Amino acid sequence: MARRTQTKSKSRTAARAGTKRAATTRRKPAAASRSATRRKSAAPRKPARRRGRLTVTPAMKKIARQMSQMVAEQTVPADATALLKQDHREVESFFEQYEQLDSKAEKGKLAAKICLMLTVHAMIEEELLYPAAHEESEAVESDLVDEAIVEHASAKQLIAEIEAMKPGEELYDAKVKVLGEYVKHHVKEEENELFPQLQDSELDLRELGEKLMQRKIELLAQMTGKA
Amino acid sequence: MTFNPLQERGIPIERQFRNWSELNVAPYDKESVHPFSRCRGIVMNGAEMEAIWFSHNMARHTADPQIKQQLALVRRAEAQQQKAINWLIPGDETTLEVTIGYEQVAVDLTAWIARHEPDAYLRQVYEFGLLEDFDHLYRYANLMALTEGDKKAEQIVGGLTEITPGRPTIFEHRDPRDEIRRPMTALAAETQSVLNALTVMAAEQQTMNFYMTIGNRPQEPLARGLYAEIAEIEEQHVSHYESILDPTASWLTNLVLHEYNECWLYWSFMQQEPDARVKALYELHLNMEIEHLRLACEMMRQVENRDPAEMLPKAMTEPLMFQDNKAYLRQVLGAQVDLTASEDRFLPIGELPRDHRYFAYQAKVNEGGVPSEQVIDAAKSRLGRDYRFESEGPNPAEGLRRDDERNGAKTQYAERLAA
Repeated sequence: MARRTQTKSKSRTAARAGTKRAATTRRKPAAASRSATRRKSAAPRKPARRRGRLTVTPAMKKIARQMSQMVAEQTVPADATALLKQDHREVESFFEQYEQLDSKAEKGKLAAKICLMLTVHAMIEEELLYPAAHEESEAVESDLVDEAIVEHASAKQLIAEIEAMKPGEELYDAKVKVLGEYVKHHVKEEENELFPQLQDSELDLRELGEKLMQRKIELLAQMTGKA
Repeated sequence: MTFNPLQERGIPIERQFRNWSELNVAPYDKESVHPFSRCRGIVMNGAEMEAIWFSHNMARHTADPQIKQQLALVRRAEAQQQKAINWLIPGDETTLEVTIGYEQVAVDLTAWIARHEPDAYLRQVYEFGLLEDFDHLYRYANLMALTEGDKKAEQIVGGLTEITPGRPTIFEHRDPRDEIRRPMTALAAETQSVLNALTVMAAEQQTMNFYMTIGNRPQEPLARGLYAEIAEIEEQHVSHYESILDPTASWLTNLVLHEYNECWLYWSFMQQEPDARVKALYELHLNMEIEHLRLACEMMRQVENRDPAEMLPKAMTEPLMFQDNKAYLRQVLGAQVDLTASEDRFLPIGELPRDHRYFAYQAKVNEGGVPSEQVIDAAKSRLGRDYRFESEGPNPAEGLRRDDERNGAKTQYAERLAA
């Protein structure tokens, strides 16, 4: 917890500095091309793919963080609960889509996307939302937060199982379906109970929203290798 | 045939500028132009307009003078591209004829995109907009029948697109808050989804700009009214389509995607264009876009320290095609005419609660008469019946057939709004 808080405050300063640096780069074209060559050697090497998963290098992490900071600086921040609800709607529509699919390849692709989005969603909630909610113990029932954490654990178990399987294997569809049911239940509890309590609390939901968005971009950039 | 613009060499930016006579291209012949050729030009004009305005907006948010200069350099070349494309339209093509072309674009472009959209929610977004633009084509075609008598809209569209009511324009006016959809997450989306959204947004935006500007050119109050009404729907559509784009994509990500999208469009259209002169123009512009993309990528490497190749596909495989979508349109129209929107969801009008803000907005804007209905009433009274071009049979939605052909059937909309 303490470690995270520290990282956060550090990254805020870095965000400002990062953008400033970016906005004032390159005075002369010649200098630009020189430093581009120089950077080439230090540039992150293309991440190695291992069993369909990316190995995240420290350089990728750094770039992903920079990206997310730049975006946060230029976007009108969203309320944390609005952002999370949007995530919920998105993943619900993926589960509905999954029901319509026949081809194994398409199922595999969509299931991978569902797992990716849920993993990122669970991580940002666990790293940022739940600790913040716990601190608002007057307005937010701590049991609710604890239950949400336990629900995440069972979803993560199922995600790991799905990721280790191939579409068409026995129980694959069933696992995706059950994951969808877990999510539905979890979403209902959050939206009907936890979120209203958060809205009544002292928590700055817009500030939290900005952090959630930043962390989401950072994680997605790392996990998809698009950094 | 696959194509990777990142691996091609384009025309160096400093060699891209043309003189006035090169820009003042000879227009096409309106009698012999292929209808889809007209459509492709309209799409590319919209894409260039978007490129120019995106670049201006980015410049307004850029502190670095060097980056601003670079944007200005590419933007000037893009402004020239816009002239070369848009000046293909001949002066003897009337505003209304061009309008029919714009609506044919809105129909057949959106239909292709919807059919090639990998994400089911986004596909629904396109199908929803598609039926509305399809109806605009019918309304303007009737205006043409009334005001340019001897000309028929089916000649402009070359019989390639049917002209019959879609989701009636009168019912398309919704509370502005109900035009905001759920955005995609670009980092997890397929590139095709991003290209689709950028393309349709640019096309709808240009349609909006066009009607905003030329809608006051006719003298007839009915025509002026119709343009004003449909221009407002185009404003809705721009809100609808821009809201599916990822708001967390950085300026540079967006710049790279814009240039990549233009490469995809020129690459696509170059392959289908039957007019050799226009085909050569598209090829020239593709070679310019390859350079614009390279420069945007270089900027991203410098400023964000990222390799754009990581976020782009290895190659383009499927070109965007203008083609016959009649059967698909009939199927969508039959199934979805009665859909409406509430926030980011789509649902049948029958399921909307009585106190939904939709009804208040409808009552407000439609209270003094509705031009999109008046134009049909005028056609019925002056020409005997409304103008339609239904080459594949009667309208698939029974409630949208002519009064004497629908056995009293009504759309859910008509029932709900009458109640």
